[in-house]
Amino acid sequence: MSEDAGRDSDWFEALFLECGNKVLAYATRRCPGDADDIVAEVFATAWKYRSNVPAEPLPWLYRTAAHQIQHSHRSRSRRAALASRSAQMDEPGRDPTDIADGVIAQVDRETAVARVMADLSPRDREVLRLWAWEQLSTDEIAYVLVISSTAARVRLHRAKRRAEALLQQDPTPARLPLALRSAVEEIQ
Amino acid sequence: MTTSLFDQLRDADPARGLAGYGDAYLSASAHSISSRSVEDHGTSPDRARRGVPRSLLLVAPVAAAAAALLVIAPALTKAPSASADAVTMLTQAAQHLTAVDPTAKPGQWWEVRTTGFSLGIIDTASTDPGAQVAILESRNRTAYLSADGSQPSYFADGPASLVRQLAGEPVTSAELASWLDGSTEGWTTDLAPNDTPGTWQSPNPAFLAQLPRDASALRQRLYDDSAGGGNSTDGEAFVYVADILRSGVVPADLRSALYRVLATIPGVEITSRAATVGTASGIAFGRYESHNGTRTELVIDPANGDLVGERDVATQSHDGISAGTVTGQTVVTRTLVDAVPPTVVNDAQVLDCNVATDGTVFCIR
Repeated sequence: MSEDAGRDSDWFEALFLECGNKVLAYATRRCPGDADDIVAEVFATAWKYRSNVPAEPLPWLYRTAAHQIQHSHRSRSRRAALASRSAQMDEPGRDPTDIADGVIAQVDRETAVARVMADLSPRDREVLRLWAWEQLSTDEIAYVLVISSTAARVRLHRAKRRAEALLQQDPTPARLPLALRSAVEEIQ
Repeated sequence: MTTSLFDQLRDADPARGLAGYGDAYLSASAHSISSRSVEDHGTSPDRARRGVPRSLLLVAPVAAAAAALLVIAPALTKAPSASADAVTMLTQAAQHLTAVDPTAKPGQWWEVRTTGFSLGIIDTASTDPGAQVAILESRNRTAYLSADGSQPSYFADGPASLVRQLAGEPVTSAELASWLDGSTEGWTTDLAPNDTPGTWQSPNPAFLAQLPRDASALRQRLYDDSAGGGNSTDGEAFVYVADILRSGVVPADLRSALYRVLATIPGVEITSRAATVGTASGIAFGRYESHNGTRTELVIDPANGDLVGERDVATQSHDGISAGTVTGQTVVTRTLVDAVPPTVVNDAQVLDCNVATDGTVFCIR
């Protein structure tokens, strides 16, 4: 197909090699139990709609992952049977539960950053994640969140200001276990 | 604070030290997906999953619904234009557009008020695993844009409030307080619109002036500029039209041309002949975009070509929200004023912005 010129299997393999672990990290930060599934679906979508993948693919992949997380979450909440699905994952050489859940639990309960993140609104949290963890520019954040660049700049600015203000306060125990529980609505 | 916020966040990254996939696994996974036949591109999800390794097959229960929706997009792109009745009504709206743009005097400003509401899904899993509530929260922004683009713009965002709850257990005031932004914030930048490249999302007077008024040329420009974004070519083109109309500063002749272009976008259809947005009503033109279960609609009064507003409608039931529910609404109004209110000027924080060589605008506090 003409629109797929250059978007062959070699291109796709290079895309997977370059971005696979970045998408895995994105998914792990938000839905550690479903990270492998999300990566698989994101790249299946990227291949299916390869003519739509921009030259700088990462924000597109993150945005697709965000959509996939919504689908995954909604399906999961409707069907409790899927709760055991992540336990079936046996991708060679990794144990997502050990790596992600353990780190998150430690972060949530012990660090000042976790307290700050718990005190921020879901939107503030997500924009800070995209900034500090995915290390995206404000334009890329805007693309992932499907908002204007201006809105992204302002949202990030506010989130940083609020986070810094909270960090200046005396440390208190986290209000709620963080557990990235609301990643789904944050990325909507 | 001796360590920057950025560094502290980086230290708390849950994916820090993540082992990741090995190159061999990544290559094998890529090969498994791309080895599907060309015919599978955009066909049924069952066929599309052929040859996917076990770890990818595990995604099937979740992916099936998404894939079934995704395959609709290519089918829509085969249509040559919007639906027949949409073409008729959009053409009528373009022809009957009677609005006359007020003529701005030197130094005047457009006061653009954007009001409405949007959907928020709150996960209350901390107290009740798996539980969610869905609310509509208000939006309220007033922008002051210098009519000739020579002065930096001012923005004042009002506090968000609960419009109504759509689904879930009744939310508490504490939950609402943690979710809704109850503050009023004002901001401006050190760059005027004329100092930045105009875009469909942030149009400046020069950008608006140089967009073609001929529908064919405008369509070409629209598709050129929106190429590569979104989940479908036509869907992104529709989004770009909605973006620029939402700016509130599109002159009448360009609005008329945009309506004619909308009539050429495959998948655009009349979704309601009596859609109410705010206090006015009109015909809703929407385009089903398969990826997110929401259809964005532009509501236009065909009698005079006025853009009544924009709304989002759920196209499938989710999170306790019934299909057909209006989950978002935006009304944009504009008036000419002689000055920006002093309170807006005084309360605005100034962002330090720069234009990169590729035209991207970066701002810092």
